[in-house]
Amino acid sequence: MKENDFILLVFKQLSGDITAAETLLLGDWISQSPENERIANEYSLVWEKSGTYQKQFSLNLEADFAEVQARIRAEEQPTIKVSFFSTRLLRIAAALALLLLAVWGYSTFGPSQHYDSVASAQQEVKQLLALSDGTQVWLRQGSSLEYVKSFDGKKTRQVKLKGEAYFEVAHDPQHPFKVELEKDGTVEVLGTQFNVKQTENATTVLVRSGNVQYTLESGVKSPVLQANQVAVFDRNAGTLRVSNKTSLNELSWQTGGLEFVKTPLSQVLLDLEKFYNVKISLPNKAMADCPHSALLSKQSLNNVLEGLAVAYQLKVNVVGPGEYLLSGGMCR
Amino acid sequence: MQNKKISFLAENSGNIWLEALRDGDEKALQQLFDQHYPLLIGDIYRILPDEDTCKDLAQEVFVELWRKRADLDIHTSLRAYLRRAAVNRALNHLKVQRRTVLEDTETFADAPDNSAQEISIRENQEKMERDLHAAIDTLPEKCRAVFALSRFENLSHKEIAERLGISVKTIENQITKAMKVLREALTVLAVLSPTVILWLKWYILG
Repeated sequence: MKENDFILLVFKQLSGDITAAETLLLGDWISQSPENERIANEYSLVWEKSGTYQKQFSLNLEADFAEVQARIRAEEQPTIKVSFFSTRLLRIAAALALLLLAVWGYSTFGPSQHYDSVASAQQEVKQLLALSDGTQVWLRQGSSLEYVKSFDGKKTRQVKLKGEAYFEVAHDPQHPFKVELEKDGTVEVLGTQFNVKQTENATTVLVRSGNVQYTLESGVKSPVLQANQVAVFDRNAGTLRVSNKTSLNELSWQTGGLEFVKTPLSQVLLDLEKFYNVKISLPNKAMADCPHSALLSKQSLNNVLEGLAVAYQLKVNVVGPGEYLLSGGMCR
Repeated sequence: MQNKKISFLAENSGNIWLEALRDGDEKALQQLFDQHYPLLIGDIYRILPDEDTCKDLAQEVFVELWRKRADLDIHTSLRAYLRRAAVNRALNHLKVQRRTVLEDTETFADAPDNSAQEISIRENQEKMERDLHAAIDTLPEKCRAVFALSRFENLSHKEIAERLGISVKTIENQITKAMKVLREALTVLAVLSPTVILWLKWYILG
């Protein structure tokens, strides 16, 4: 065998495409001289360093996808022969097309269909809105709701939400209540209390009581969600996950209070961090699962931390602006 | 939607975009396109360094994905599925192009010139990579395609030979040729890390 053959064997060895016999041959050859060993090393390095070889050029995704669509259309539609005598039909079709275009233009760029009013929460942390059927909606700061002044004569009671809101829907089984979402489908309810949160990457539906069904844009429906269930649609991953909610306090922005029922201390601190917008660490691992029960309403963080310190023999240290450290501790 | 099996379990939720695609939602196709098209372009371009061909073959993958949307039964990751589809198209393209692309051409472009210099070990490693990648760019089409298919796509020599309609021996010759050209480009091999030697010894001799 010549040197070229062994170069190939090094390649095969590294790609995992080598037989046992070839492996032995290669091993033999390498141990025969330092020169062979050197050659094997050099080619291993070549193989290894070539692994990161990547080539790209700049792409125009929109244009290229348009090309994909064009090819799909071409495949799906047989070419239509236009007869000389159907010019009249063509003119009618053209007029219709223009009319449709105008309607489309109006519905896309004109005022939003279905709704005649808008409410939004700007300065306030939350804004309460009462709809004509008695439904109450709390809008979180930065969110807005499109609705109609009166639901009379409408088969369904429909609103459109941008951002986050908590709903207490007035019971009316004859007229389902629907929340149209910005991007990710609709939420349908029957006399219920629930929260909808829309962010850049996901939409979350949390049910406090009652039954809620979440339908995605694609038509896919979640199972009927019940009290304490959460559905999260991750727009990037394209996944819909239903789980039981881990914290009683995801709605504390609306209730203004915090609830803990034998909640592990680690979760308590997480909820406090979110509610007060601070960072709290608990280095004593033994305390992490310590169950805590309390009902807090409009209390200052200092009061809350003091309460915890007394209850569990913790020492509260301020390590920086908005940063706290709880040390020591003994679970009751 | 009667026959759909959708699981909403906490772990392992199915890909919503595939489900939507099955339902004929073109927005789902666009979403998948935006996510995977650039990756497929990268995969194909390593094998066939022609922009127009790359775009054409990658786009065809999505046209086919749409055409087969009702019958899709993907058990591996979607990325792996699409990548394999793209590589298959590249293989077919090479086979068809056989007469012009796959003929032997002995003339190689000059390897980059590296006069001996004093450089640090890390710069050495980076330079090695750059020189090596530049050398891959200079490989003649057939040689480069075969090297890329074998090195990056985990296809056995036998598979490549069958798909391209040429002998295993030819495939192996092309790979050896590529390796030698690439080795030539690495004139900074004066400083060879001792750990590489030990690694290789262990790896090969067990």
